[in-house]
Amino acid sequence: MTDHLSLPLFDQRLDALGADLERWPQAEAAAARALLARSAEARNRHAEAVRLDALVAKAAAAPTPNGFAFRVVGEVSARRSDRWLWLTASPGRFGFASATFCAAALTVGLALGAIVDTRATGATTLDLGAAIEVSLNDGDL
Amino acid sequence: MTALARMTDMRDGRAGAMRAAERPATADEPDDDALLALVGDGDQRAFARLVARHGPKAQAVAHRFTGSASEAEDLVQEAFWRVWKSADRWRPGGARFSTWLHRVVVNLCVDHDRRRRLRRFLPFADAFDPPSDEVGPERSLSDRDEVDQVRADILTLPARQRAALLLAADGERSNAEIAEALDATEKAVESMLVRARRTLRALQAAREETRP
Repeated sequence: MTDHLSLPLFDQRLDALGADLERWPQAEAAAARALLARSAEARNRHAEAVRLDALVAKAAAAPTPNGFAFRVVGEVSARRSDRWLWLTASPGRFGFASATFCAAALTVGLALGAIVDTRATGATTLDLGAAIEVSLNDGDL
Repeated sequence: MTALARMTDMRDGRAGAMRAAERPATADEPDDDALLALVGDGDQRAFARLVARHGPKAQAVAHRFTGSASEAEDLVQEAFWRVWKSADRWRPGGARFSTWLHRVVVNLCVDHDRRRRLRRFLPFADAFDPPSDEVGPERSLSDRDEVDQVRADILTLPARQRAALLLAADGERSNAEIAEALDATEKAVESMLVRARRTLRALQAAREETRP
């Protein structure tokens, strides 16, 4: 990009890249700085863009709810446990035929188990120790 | 090919750059790749550390996207559940973990937004959707400050423009990284940001005109 950046193109690039020229590609930033040096209108547009970006940054920020990390880790632990409980309760839920089917599936599963990683469904208990430890350290709780 | 696989295949200069949010607090604390390797082996403490490191930012994006802190937390929980399930497939040295996490969160937010718009056509739709935390347009201008107004304006943007703007808002991601998170081209992200910022400016200008 040359030194000759027009005002309409400057407007377009401000909206596309934001008002912080440090984040622009070098050549475009240099052209923008040259335009700002010679044009009061460009300086006005840039000041408006800085103001809008600052407002959007404030609007986009959000406080982290108390206990957030603890709840997220707890929910994931609970889901892992739920999966296991669902599997163990299946015979009662679906009757003898399903239990037979599950037994057959289990046999095949055990055979496959040697080569397939079942880590995600392996937990049998709800373990919140790690969540409590990290949350307390971070002041999340 | 899964989104995770595509993300881990991206190996360019940006991917290696670690930002403040992802940098371990102390030198002896493991980085994201190391934590993900531990999570892949079922380490719950490493998982809790990842949640503590990246969860708040993901929660903020989802909160401002949906307008509801509780809905946002549900979406972030789902995103981290997917992190837990996929961690053993993570390949270090590729895309940044936070970019992948934001991609999952944004996709969940966009799907959530789509379902919510569909539900509006159902009878008793209000019973499904909790009210937004944000100040709505029905409130008078006098009881809202400018930031609240912009928050309400952001909620009126089309979903992908809203996501692009929220990911760009803190100035920590390049448009290229936002493009990765949105599974779009950099040009498309620029176009989304141009339209989003112009809409916000137009809404602000309209308010200025009607202000006594």
